[in-house]
Amino acid sequence: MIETAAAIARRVRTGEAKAEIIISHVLEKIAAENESLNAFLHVSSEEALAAARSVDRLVANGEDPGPLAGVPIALKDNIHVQGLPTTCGSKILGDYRAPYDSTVALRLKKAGALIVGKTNLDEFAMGSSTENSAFGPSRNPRDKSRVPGGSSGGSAAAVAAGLVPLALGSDTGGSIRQPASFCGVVGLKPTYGSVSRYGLTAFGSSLDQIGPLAQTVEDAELCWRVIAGHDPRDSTSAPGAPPEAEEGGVAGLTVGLPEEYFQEGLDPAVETIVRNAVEGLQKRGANVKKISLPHTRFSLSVYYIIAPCEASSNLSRFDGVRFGHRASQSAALESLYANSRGEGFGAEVKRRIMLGTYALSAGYYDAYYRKAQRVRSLIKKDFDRAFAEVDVIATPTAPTTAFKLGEKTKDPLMMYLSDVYTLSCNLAGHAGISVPCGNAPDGLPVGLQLMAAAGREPTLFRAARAVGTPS
Amino acid sequence: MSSEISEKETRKVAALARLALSDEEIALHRGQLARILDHVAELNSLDVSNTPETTHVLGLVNVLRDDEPELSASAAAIRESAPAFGNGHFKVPKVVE
Repeated sequence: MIETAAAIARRVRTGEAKAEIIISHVLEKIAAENESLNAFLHVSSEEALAAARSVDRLVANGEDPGPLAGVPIALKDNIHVQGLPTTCGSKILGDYRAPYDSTVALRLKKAGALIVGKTNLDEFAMGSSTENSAFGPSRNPRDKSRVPGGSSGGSAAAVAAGLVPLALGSDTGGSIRQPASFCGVVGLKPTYGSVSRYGLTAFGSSLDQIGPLAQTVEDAELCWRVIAGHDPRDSTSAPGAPPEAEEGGVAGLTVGLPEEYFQEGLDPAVETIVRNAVEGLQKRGANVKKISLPHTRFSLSVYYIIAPCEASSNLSRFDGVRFGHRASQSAALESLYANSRGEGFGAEVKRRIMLGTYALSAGYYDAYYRKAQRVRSLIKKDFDRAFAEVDVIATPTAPTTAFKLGEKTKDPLMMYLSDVYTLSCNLAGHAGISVPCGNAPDGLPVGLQLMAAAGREPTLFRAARAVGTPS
Repeated sequence: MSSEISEKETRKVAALARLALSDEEIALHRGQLARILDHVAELNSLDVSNTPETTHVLGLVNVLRDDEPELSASAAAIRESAPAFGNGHFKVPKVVE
């Protein structure tokens, strides 16, 4: 364990602790433990130390060092930090270094946070285990023979191992929440558009959101408040400032339990723990209500059309011309593109580019992409109906606990199913959070997923804070 | 229903995607594409002819702002990222004879 971000910031802001000493401990711990976890792909020791000294100087001068003063944070390696590598877990980016800061990196730096490095991920955030990383899988700190989940597996592992109190991930179909569940930490996917995507390597542009992974709900909220809010550099960014915090617990909130999330495919041990957690919310004064999200079973199909279509378009920029890997010995421009991409991309990325290109090609667009965008409206309507009756929806985050390395790599569809409970939240654009709610009999952590309507993060935090606390 | 994708069609998709794939990869993708398409065919059981598409979940349209110049990434950093650069241009193989 490591101190919470809130506690570190409090101590650094009052001058009780020095940011430089905190960061030195963190860097030592990463150096000692990263080899067995492979959570970090790059550690930015010098930059973090310099940032820590500048925080300490501000405090010494009586200036406000920001709400995350002295808090070490790791960023998933698809988020740009000026001067640091961005690999996206891919060979195709070669030795690329980000020429500019993402909006989230800028806001973190301004808030006094110390960016300590870049974390491992499934290549271009496509996967559920980090086994698709070109730089080897990360391992789950709770059991190193198991995956940490993905695609933000490096970020989840770094927080779970106590290397950092906070990390950022990105979530296109569950890539923050599922690894949070597997590693026993908190993971927030904010409302679509709540956090700027500027400087995040685009995967599925209508689905992607950056969000925090943390040890506590309070830390996740603290971090979200720093990175959220309108950004003119992201045209899909929601207007206005993030909504104001809500006081109070879960008492008085209505929690919906959708029957479709408790059917075939759900591990009985996970189900028991999740149902107990919901009972716990009820004991604390929540009104629990059975609801239905009837189109849930189509979310996997809708997602695996929309996300690959958007990915195939977004990834066309990796062509070996302006940055990244270039194949040698290409006689013509066309073969330079094809060879660079053929050499640079891994199997899962190729699979999704192929699927997306097929679905968008002449004659198939209506049957696949347009159709999926229409079924997406039905899924969204299900949520609209549910959120007219309930404040928060509670489900398991994942159908199982963390699986073994290699267990699902042979069958893409099996792997895709580990995101089955998180996909629809992205398709509908709502906010979702995974909170640890207990351990299965084998000792592995289980996450409770809570979802709230777009823009209602403050309500989501109220419910999330109550998970696992004494009634 | 079982989807069947020919080798020729798989190669065409790879060409459209600008992906050089080995024969083994073509065979692998051919099978996996078909399997995924089989799964997503379940959407055909829904009548959505009168359902609008969701293009943006928040319903934002025509997001415009003033075009004000500001500092962005330096030209030098962008040049340094390029695999081949010269005379102010990204260099590529000859495209016209």
